[in-house]
Amino acid sequence: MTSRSLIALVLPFASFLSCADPVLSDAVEAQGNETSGVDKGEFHRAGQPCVTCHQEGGPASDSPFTVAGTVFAQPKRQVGVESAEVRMTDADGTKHTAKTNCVGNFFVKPDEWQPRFPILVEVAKNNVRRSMRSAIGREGSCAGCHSTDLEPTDPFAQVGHIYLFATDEPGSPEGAADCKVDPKRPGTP
Amino acid sequence: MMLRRAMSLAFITGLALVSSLIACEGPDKGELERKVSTRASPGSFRTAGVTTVVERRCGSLDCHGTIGRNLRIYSANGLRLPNEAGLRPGAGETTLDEITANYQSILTLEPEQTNKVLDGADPNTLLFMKKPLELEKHKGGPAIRKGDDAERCLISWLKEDLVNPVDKDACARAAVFPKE
Repeated sequence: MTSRSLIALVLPFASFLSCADPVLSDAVEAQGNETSGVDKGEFHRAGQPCVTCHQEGGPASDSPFTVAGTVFAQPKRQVGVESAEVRMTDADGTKHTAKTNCVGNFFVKPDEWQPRFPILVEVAKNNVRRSMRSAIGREGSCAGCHSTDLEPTDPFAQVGHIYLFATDEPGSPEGAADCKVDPKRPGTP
Repeated sequence: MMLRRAMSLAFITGLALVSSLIACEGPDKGELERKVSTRASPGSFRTAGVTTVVERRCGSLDCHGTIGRNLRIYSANGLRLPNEAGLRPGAGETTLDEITANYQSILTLEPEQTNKVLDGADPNTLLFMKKPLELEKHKGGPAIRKGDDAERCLISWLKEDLVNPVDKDACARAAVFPKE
């Protein structure tokens, strides 16, 4: 192989690497591997920032989301809440409601709803309803902010996951028995 | 002869003294011009509830309640100033230190332009107004709208004087956000 043909081979790779977004790459890498026993799909990575990958330029750019997240039962029982309604209203007043699956995941695709930020959100199931105290300004992933366990890495800038119940209130679910995967948040006991 | 020599010596000595005095004197600074503006005062930022409007409209954790933003906003429901009182996002009230930090954050965002506004220029020339009104590209969309309570509150603060105080009622209404 001549040196000229070697350069011609390497150059496209080098230019591709230089175009990659290092911030996005780091964010994707920080999500770690898939949980064993849970394949890629609607049940995977519950509680993680979905739009990190499901966006233009991300590894799941073929399936982008405008808003996505996970609703868990309560801090001491982090199982997904199935069939919770996630009601959203954007800056133009348009509304969209998404429903959670059995691990608590919900996602909104661009052809379903493309909100204009800021958006307001409330989560409800049966007669239990929780509204966000602030508007979402730009982040499509709930877990972009709602990401901490009991011991946050930055206690001044992070808030816990989304819980529909504060404690063992009546109606707080145990987790759907017929869920294809374990409805517990990965990594929790 | 002696007299002439003594006179020229005295003249040279005098000249040397005068020139050394001139050399030690600094350049003319002109008159010290100090203006005190009544606009955007720190007192009314807190007491008229301007900070609350900014906290609610701009300070969510995914927007200006992030340490990566140059207009950084602290609030009870968003980013907290590091503290030993156990105050975390969602706990307690916004502290005086956090309000002070918010004030400094707004006023130092564009120091030169802010000075012009404090000196009478149009508040809408500030990024602080242009961004949330979407007169300039704003990733967070229209955080306030022309003519709404939030805009009236912020503009009245940026223009306040003894005759035209901050529109406290507009601030109070704009602080109820998100509305139920």
